[in-house]
Amino acid sequence: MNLFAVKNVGYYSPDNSVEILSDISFNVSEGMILGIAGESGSGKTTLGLILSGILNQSSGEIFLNGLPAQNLIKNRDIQILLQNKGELINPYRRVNSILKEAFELNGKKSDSESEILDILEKLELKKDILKRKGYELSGGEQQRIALARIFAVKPSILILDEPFSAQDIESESIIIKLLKKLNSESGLTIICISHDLKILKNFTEELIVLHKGKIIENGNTKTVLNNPTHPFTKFLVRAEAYSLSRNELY
Amino acid sequence: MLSVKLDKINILNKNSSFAILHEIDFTIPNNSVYTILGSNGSGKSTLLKAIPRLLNSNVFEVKGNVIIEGVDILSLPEKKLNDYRKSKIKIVFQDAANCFDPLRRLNYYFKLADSNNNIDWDPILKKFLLPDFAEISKKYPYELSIGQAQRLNFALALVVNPRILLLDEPTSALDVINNNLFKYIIEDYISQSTNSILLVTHDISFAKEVSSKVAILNNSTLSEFVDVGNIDTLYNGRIKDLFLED
Repeated sequence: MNLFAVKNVGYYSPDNSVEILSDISFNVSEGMILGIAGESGSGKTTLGLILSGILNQSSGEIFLNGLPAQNLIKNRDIQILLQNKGELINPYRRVNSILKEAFELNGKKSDSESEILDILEKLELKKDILKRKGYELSGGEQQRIALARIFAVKPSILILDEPFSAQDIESESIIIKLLKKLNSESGLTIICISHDLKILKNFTEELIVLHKGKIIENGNTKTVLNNPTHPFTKFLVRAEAYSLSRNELY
Repeated sequence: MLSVKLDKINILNKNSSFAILHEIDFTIPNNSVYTILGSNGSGKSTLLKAIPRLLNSNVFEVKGNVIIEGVDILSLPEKKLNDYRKSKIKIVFQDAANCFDPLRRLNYYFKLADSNNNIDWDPILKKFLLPDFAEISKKYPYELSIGQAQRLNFALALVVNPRILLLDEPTSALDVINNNLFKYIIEDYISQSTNSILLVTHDISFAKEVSSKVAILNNSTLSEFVDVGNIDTLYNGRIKDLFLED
């Protein structure tokens, strides 16, 4: 059963002048880890925002569990971790109050403290972080706190927009291990948007490659990245290895 | 003077007298890229900001010396310091998109970098894959993508030919194509001048491509700088494991 079915979705910029996504179709089955790759400006983030209901598509349809999806934004089962632009969490609030609010609203008040400690432990964050304010956190720490807050809602579909761009490799591997565990144990469906092919290769099972708002290649992640067929996917794979020549850039 | 020297830098949080960085001591020779690796929250960005004295002095206490061309930056009077910040020490911040005043057109920043109005911007912008001057100077910061903002910050810093360029996670918001571009830009800058770059990053692939030497910041102290070929020793041989290599 397809959890999400995306059919011929297109998106125009608000003034209708630029087509950002065109004719996007793919399926997401339950418990799948799907990767979305592409260069900056290829429409990856826009697609993530549409799937989470923050933006509405200009054309095409999205089905959730076989039914036309309406008001995706109100569906608490779908959560998105937005790209970190230093605006993920309130800089003036303490981490404790940020997490407490989320866990109290989404569960038993009496359990919130133990749930918070539990999620911090899973994300390998020290307890001291609770006393700090948003602005005192590094970019990677902010992103992990935002992720901890999402887990308060216990989503069944998690959309991640460049979740690792501010993370060092140690935190990256901690988060990947945690998400893979949630995926295998509780069937969490994950859609991971990233420009980092190395991470996508290790983390995702299926892959979509976007280029100028269109899907140019999709399939099993390792197959796509080991034997790319589209010239642009080939270009991306070579860029990852830092083997682009000056002529190819200019 | 041949080098940029950091001499026994100690950074303390005044409120908790907590040592953020302890006895940081190294010299960057000409034409080199020195890279500091380290995990989130290890103090990489704090160290970089301490060099042009951008840390809030109500919160942080910085001890030691930063010697550039024989002058100690940490003891310069404010006015002199500003001259150094304009011409000799340039920093490209991590959060490129929020570096610009959202209410000013970008022309303001071009004028700041070129007060005599004698720079031909188009070839520079072209090198950074940015739109030409007539177009980009009219834009507001929100009209740039994160990648464009990062490239523009980089271009504005390099145009004054700084003695030392400080780069804070320049690739964290960029795709791999931009990373290839930055690699060439750094190579050109280093080979065409006597200047140096101090880079902090957690992007090990990028560090491997551009660095002359690398060190790791851990528990408030900095390791010795080693040749980039020996980067694995900094991670006790765990790099393959952490790097998710097959």
